Amino acid sequence: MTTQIAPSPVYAAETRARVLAVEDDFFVALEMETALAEAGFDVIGPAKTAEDAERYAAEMRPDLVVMDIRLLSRRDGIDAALAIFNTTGIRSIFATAHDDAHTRARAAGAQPLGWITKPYTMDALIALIRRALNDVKS
Amino acid sequence: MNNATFAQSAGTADALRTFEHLATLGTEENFRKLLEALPAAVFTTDAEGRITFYNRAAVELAGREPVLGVDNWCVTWRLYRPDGTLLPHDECPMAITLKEDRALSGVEAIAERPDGTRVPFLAYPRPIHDASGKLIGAVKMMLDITDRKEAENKIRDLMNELNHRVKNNMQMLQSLLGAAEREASSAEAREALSDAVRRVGAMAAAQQGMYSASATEFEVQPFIEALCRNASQSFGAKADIHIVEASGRLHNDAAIPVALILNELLTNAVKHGRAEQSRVTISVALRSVGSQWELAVADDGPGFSLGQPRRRASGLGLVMGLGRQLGGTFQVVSDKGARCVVRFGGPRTAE
Repeated sequence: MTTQIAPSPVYAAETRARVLAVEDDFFVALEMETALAEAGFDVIGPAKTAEDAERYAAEMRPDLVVMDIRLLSRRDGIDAALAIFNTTGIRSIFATAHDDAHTRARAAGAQPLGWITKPYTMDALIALIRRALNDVKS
Repeated sequence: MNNATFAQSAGTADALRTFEHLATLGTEENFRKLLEALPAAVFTTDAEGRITFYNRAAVELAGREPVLGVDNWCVTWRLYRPDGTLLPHDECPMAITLKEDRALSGVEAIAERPDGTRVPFLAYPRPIHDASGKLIGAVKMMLDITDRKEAENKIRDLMNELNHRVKNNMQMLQSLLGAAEREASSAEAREALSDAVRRVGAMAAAQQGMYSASATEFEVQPFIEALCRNASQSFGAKADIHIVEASGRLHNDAAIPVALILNELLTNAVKHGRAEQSRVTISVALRSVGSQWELAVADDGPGFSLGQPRRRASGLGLVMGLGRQLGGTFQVVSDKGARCVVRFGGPRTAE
């Protein structure tokens, strides 16, 4: 009699990292969603406003957030990242065209996992997310 | 001349000329009246720097009433240099004029009032001599440039906004091409779109570095680093890119052509320099040699000779075309790998 060891699809699904995407530009959000899903992440969102980002984070508890700074809402991505960090402890990678000292100082309170400056490639974003997930887990 | 006509003519240089002209005409009494009527802040000191006279406009600018015979060098409460560091009163423009007996024009400084508000101004201190030519004091005019500073800040904000939008649009362009690459079914289409994504990435990297040194020039080092990072991200494990040298400043006009040339040379090294190896090692250098700039990209692949490129909008055809745009030359040396060198431009450095 032979014993077959079946793969465990349940286990595989459980280990997929969950990433909340916050990005108000349709094309960028679309590409991010596709690229992150292809790279093996569960993508939550994309959220287009600070309020949606906070709600998704509270309800879905992602491992990390990819946060654009300029959003469709009056409150920006830094406001959202600070609120998410303060209520859930979930940290963000900031993916934005804003990359100055003032912006970084404002975001410091959310303990950013990293910064990537627009325009960036999805490969670069994925590499940064993988590094950040290691930081979160350790 | 009445106050109204004076106020109308009181532009920066105009006011100074009018003031100097009238000052030569009158008696001491007239001279003082004239200074009092002047819409620009004016005060005088004796040869030791003690304040002997100030007008209303000086009080307004300083935000305080100076104390005659007690205050030295300046009517202001506190002074700062344009970079924000404290400027001691005995090193202020007026002090220099008195100590060195020479006129200064348009020295920028910031006055702090006792209430904490700050006024940026230009100082015009001039020495005063008696008939025998001996230094007996000095007169200083201070022009409030708050409006100009506000306009400059507005321009800076607009530049930042514009830069932000350019970067966002490039991100969108890159995302559009990236999505098309993912959806393309043929290998050739995917490769062409991947090349296009990398080219937009190179243009974006060039855009990032622009204006880093000044309004017309950029720093070469972060520029080359950003371009190599863009290529590394795209090629992943296929390429190991090293920067050998990158220093100095280049004119903004050169940014996009140099970025696209370097990107093409890196792409070329990865596509043709790998032979049987899985990974190619590439070294990059951008340096000024004499009166010219030299961009060199060397790999450890099999080398190649430069024939007539088939295409002009990609690969080495693009390098040659953009090289011509820069008024440069392109050369390939094959010796233990390929070494591509583009020389261009005159001495457009900051020195």
